[in-house]
Amino acid sequence: MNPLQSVVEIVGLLAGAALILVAPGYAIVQACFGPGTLPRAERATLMIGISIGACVVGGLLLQYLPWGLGAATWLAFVAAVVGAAAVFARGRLAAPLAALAGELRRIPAVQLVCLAGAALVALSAVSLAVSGARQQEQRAAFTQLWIQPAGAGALGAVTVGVRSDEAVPVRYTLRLLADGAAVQPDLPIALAAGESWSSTIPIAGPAPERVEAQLYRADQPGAIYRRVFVQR
Amino acid sequence: MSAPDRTLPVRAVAGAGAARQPAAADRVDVADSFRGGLGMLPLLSLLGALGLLLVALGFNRARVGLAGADLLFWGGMLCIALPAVARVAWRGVGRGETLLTTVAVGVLLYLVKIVHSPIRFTFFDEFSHWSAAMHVGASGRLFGDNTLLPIAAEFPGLHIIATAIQSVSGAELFLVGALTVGVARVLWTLALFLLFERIAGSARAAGLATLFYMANPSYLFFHGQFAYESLALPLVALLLFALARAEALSGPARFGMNLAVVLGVGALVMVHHLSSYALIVFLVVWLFASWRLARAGAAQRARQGTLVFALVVTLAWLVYFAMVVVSYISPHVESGVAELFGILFGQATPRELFVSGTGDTAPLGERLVGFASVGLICLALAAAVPWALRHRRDSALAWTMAVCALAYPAAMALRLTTAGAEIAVRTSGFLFLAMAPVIAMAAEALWLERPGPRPAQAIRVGILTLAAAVIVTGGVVLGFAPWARLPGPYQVAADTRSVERQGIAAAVWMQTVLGPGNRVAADRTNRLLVATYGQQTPVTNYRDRVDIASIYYAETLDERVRATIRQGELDYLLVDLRMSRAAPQLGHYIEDGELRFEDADGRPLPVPERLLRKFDDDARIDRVLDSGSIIVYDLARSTR
Repeated sequence: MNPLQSVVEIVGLLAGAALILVAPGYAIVQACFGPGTLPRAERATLMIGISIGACVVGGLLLQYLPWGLGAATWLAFVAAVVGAAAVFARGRLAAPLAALAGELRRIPAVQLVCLAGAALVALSAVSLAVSGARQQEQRAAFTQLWIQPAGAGALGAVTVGVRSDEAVPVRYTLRLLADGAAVQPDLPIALAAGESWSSTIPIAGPAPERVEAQLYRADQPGAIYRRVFVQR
Repeated sequence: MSAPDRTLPVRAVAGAGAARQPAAADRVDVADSFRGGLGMLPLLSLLGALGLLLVALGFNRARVGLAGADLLFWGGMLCIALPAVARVAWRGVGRGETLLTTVAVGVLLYLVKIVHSPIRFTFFDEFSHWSAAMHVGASGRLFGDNTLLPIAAEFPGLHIIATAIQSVSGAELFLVGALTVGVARVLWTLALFLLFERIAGSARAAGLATLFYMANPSYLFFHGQFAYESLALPLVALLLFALARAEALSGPARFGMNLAVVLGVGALVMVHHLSSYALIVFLVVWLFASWRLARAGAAQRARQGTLVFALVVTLAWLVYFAMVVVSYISPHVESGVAELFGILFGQATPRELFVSGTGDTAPLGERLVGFASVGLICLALAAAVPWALRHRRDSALAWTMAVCALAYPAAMALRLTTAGAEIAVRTSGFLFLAMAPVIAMAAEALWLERPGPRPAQAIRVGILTLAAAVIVTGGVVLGFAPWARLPGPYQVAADTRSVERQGIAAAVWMQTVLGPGNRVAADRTNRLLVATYGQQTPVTNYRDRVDIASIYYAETLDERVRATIRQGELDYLLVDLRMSRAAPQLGHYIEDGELRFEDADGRPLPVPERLLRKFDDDARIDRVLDSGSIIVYDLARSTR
């Protein structure tokens, strides 16, 4: 995934989370609790808690509607909850945000910079972990060889596939045997890391009892690297 | 006439009988003000973030098997926790700073779990809930058939939230799950602080209690995973806070708080079975305490109403959707209790503590810290519970917490049993909820608030911080074995350490080439992968009553094995040859209770390789995938 796609996904994720985990509870809290009735920490707690409660219960209600649980029904549900709460909130929906902005201005700039630095360091830690985990996975190199009969019944043809998850480009040789005899000349296959190859190969002559595919690495020509077979 | 229940915020000054003053918690103008800045919060946050960086560096070293990973991990953990403990314990720290410090620590500890497994689900339970969420997302309906953990589908609360976010955002479910649990973690920390403040009447005690709670063995990893308990426990904390808070409100505000209770109970019942039962038990004890202490009134009636509502909704859910809970929970409880009594009467031997399935023992230092942590907590309870029962008769909630905290030693005893160890892990989240405020209140009253010159205050805070270091470290040691605590190279039958690319690639291949929905036999880890990445239907003894392990361990493919294959209607068999290279970390490869391979001294051995390769010699079994360590066999003709 390219960086732009990642940014779009993150923004979409945050927007979706705000819609489900914040919006319903925020609107209900504003409707039920007038200014000065609850400290901010309690409002925040109820905002998240009521959002979760409303959406979980709402999910059960959506289960019994013909349309089920989907993007459209969720958007409609959240809109209904927020709309209903807005009627009772009587124009108070934006008030806490303005008050919070005013309080944040009281905080010394150096403290805000320090907090931003902490967030940056935490983000760096997560990025480091992501990079480390991906590198760990890349180190576990392997190759897949597979076979499937190309049709029902007798083995008139087989589909063979190779996928390379090796760290570097690898050259292979594929040998196909029908009842122990070569079906065709050995087939050279060169794959880059992450690349796949597959082909449907007809078996000439009477249908064999067993078709076996053997994969050899060019750097180890004497040793069968991978082996698969189908039998009838 | 009953006296009013004092779950109002009052600050307990040293000693019983001293004057109590209303604290700032309910005064919106004081509680909300950032006048004076954030104190040391920014510096503590920066220190904590650096601690997280150390943990991430440690994990990356562990992934490649380099030395020093453990040191970085423990250094980072203590860097996150201890400065916060010392600051919160210090006299005169503002309420806002204390609250936000606990939230910061809660978030940072959650990020430790994220940096452990930052790119995919790796914890065992996560796969069951991922599978359930995938079904809800794909079908738009609840209560599908969950092949990994049938009970998970009957409690769809977490899956509802996750798929709702996924459907409107289009984001990948792993990211959605991580964010959902992260937000639940914030809710949890806030609710705990506010609840403990209600009980203790002190922001300092609330902060200490919240930080103490985070030292429970399940907090760091088990309750940070994408699983239903990670959402349920925050809801429990929210409900208890809302019930306590509603007493001080009236009019629309009280209606709003009661609405939070109703929605919270409804959601909790749909999220997790044990949590809703624990809430009911707690409410019963709370009501009894209120009656016993003559603290009845409107608040008592509200709690009674909540209890009745919770009972009705829980029973209705059980009857209409989730009767499977009975068969899921009761065997664990029955065998755990039976085993405990067996040990007490000398008819059974205790489980070997700190020993893995391969027979490896945890380092001596870890064992000592584990025992020291439990010992310290028991000592603290021995002082705190009598203090609370004597000095907090003004609060039925405080009294209830003290009574419930007495269950801790019994839960620790369950760890001596094989069946009960699992129960002990899962109950720690509830028990610490009761223990935390009791210990924190007593610590403040009996230790921190003792009058004395400033240097003595520094020494007391220092000793408290040292104790916190033991408890935090011990909590992590007791929660996860060394091989699971840090990521690292592949290990056989080792849950998080066994989730790797070759298994995932085999599962993806199955979906792509074989199509979804085939009935597959596989070992413990690959079963998770084929069900989720592969969209296959794994067959198990637990769910289908088919002895899958016997297929792998039989010497030959005789008629009994073929009968098992027929019984399971198996289409494919996945064999992971690594089972023959090392003994299983968890004690079993396929399912608990399977045949074990041992040497003359009883030490576990790997599966003999010939047993895993026997399928190559059968003329009716096709070998359709070979990726080196993983082989997939087509069993379609094997029983003809």
